[in-house]
Amino acid sequence: MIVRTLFVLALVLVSVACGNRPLAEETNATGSEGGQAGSLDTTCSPTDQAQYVYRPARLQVVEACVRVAGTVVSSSTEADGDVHLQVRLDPPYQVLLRPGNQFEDGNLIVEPVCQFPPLQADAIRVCASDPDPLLGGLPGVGDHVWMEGRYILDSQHHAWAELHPLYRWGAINP
Amino acid sequence: MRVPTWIGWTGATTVGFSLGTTLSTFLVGAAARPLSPLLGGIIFVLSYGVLIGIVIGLAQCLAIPRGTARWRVWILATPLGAGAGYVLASVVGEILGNTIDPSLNVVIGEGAIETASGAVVGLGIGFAQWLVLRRGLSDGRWWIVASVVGGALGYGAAAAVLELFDLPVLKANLVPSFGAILGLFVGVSQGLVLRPAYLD
Repeated sequence: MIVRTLFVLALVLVSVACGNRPLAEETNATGSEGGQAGSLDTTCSPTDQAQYVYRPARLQVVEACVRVAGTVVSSSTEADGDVHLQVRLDPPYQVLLRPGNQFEDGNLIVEPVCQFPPLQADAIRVCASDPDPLLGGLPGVGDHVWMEGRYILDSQHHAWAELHPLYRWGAINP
Repeated sequence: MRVPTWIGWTGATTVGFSLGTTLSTFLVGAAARPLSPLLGGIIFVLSYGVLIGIVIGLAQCLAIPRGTARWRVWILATPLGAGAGYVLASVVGEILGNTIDPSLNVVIGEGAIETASGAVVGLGIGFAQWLVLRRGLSDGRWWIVASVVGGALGYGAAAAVLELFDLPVLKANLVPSFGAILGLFVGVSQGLVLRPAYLD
């Protein structure tokens, strides 16, 4: 009886799985906000990582891809599987900051997504479907780097500006 | 070795969830990426939940009251229940996340998502374990309820503590801390139902 019931449980599990599909990517950009980036380099190419951002409606997309430079001042892991980097932007890029960034000591937030299986339930499945998260290590605190990512405003956190997701990065030689 | 009180049960469950979540996060996260394209990540989530369940089942075996359940079936049932629970919770969490207005207060919005999803994790584990326990426990019918309540409160509390309180020790040990808080609530809740069995 127990084995039969467990078998039925397994069948229910598979049927639920079969009915599930990845969610569509949020790609809307606002024209007026897009101008805020001004003379910044917005010619970089997005990767597929934007489709693995959970709850896409919480992020207002300003530019599909922006390149910045700055120094990493802190790094922490989050329950949603993302890493939360605070980046002190070099002066030419500080135009990207919004009043909400004062809640993060005036730094830009940069979030590579799906760095580990999320604990937060709304992110678990989306990250699990990401076959190729940004790997190969992340910059450490104190590193001076360039970064390319999607420029967004986070409506859940004071509408501060972020690169979310981070697409790629590299060290800037002194 | 058996710890002969329901407090031992709570401890075993807390350790099981903490260790299981940690092991699964790093092992499945490192090795299971080839599973990501399968069924939109569901097989990956299933693997993640099953591994957590294996560790929970093993830990709880050390503290389960004598004569209450057959340990081999317990170790089989718990991972199946955890796998099903995490898969269903990930679907419920995603649906709620895409339904609830993101401009809603983050504590209320995320709190509702995590509490509901935790209840589903508890339901999966509780139902599978109830199938094993029901003949050996006089109040077995409360097992599912206790697991659902413990899962809901534990998941909600874990998310809230880690999001709202900037405690360096917990932040530095994010994954084991989350698992321990979840396991503590499930352990206490289930332990209250098990308590009479330790007196028999």
